[in-house]
Amino acid sequence: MTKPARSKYFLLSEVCFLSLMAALVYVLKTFLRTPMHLPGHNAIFWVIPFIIGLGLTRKFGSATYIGILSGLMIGTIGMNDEGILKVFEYIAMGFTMDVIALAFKNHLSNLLVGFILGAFGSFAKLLVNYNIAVLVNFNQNVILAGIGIAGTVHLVFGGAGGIIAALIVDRVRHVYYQRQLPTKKQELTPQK
Amino acid sequence: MQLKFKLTVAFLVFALLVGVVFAVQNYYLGLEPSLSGPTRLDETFYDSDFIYGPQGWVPYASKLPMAPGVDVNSGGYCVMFVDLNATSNLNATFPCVRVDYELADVHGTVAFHVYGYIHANRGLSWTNHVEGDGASGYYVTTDPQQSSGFTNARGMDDFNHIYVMVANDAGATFSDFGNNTYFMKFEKEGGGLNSLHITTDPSIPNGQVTNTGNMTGTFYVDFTGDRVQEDFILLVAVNGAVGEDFALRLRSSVP
Repeated sequence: MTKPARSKYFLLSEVCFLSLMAALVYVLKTFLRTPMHLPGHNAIFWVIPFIIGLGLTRKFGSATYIGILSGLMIGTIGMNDEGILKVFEYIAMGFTMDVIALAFKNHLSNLLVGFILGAFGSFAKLLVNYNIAVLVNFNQNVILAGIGIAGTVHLVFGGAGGIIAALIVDRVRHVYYQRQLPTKKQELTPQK
Repeated sequence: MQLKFKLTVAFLVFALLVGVVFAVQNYYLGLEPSLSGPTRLDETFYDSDFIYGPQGWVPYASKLPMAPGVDVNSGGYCVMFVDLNATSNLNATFPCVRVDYELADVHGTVAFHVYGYIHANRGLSWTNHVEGDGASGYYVTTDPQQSSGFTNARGMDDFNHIYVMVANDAGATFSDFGNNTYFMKFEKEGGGLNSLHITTDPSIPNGQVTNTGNMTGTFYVDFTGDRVQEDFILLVAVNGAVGEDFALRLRSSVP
């Protein structure tokens, strides 16, 4: 039996799914409040939709797309001082995950790979956040004074979120997922 | 490349990043903080300036204790608000506002709290907290006696969504309502408590709760969040007796 070829472009169903993941990032960022007083601990939540989107579509650019969309929502209708500049934090987060995912292409449901994706994505967000603070003079020196704790929290909590996301990807990746119907040529071409 | 090798490299980079961020932090904390700068307030206050109280709480979305362990429904602190007319210099190594105090003829505990003001917000929506994780505050205790001497003090109307008058001769720096008051504008419990701090060392921005017996001293107020505060308002409260020569001189400066 032949298997339809995977298009390198996003299908409509994938765009819808990634957009939903972006909306989830916005909701988690804006409305979820936790009583921990650690900068960046919420990364444990934000990274999950990124990695699920990336893990299920398995296409380069998935996480960046989620980053652009969620960043735009957070930057325009979210409550933050940086405003639209916030979009760069989420683009950096998504792009970092996309690039790292290239190296772990067929292992996105691996827990350790999930940890690495979440940790580095979250850390990239922190780096861009610091650069935005420098750019608009938003108390950037205080960030440096606590960068050790903040950086480690971003890495560890982002990684923990990545593990959760990888677990979810592992459980749902076999579920039927609507894809574009194969063309006649694709139907005749046996897939490896 | 094998997955195991790739993961090993990734975790080495992870460990390297942790090392680098702590190296940067340690280097930064090792820098010498600037401790002096232009004066923004130099004024002496008297017992007649304490126009609120007595109470055991400070304004917030709920009643916050004036001091650790104080029952908010009791406590005999009389309160005044002082506009420090200053905010942190964000280009300083450790941005903060320095507060120097000189107390005279007071017998009891003097408590200092800080509130943050952002003009676009048109209110005070940030303060320090003295209990729990991230607590900070400053207390001066000397020869405690029964509370007396504050004849102008009257109870506050409420603990939130109220206008509070500052005791400064020059009035409020941002007089949004034209009557030298600031509006206490806390939206919900738990919010606005993590950003502002009182510290005795600017290189420890998150501050600490300090108890001292010194009648003269220095502390620093700062903010660590990404909401840039435009002015700091000091809450000063006294629980005890004051004599005829009672005075509190406050100076603020921006290092």
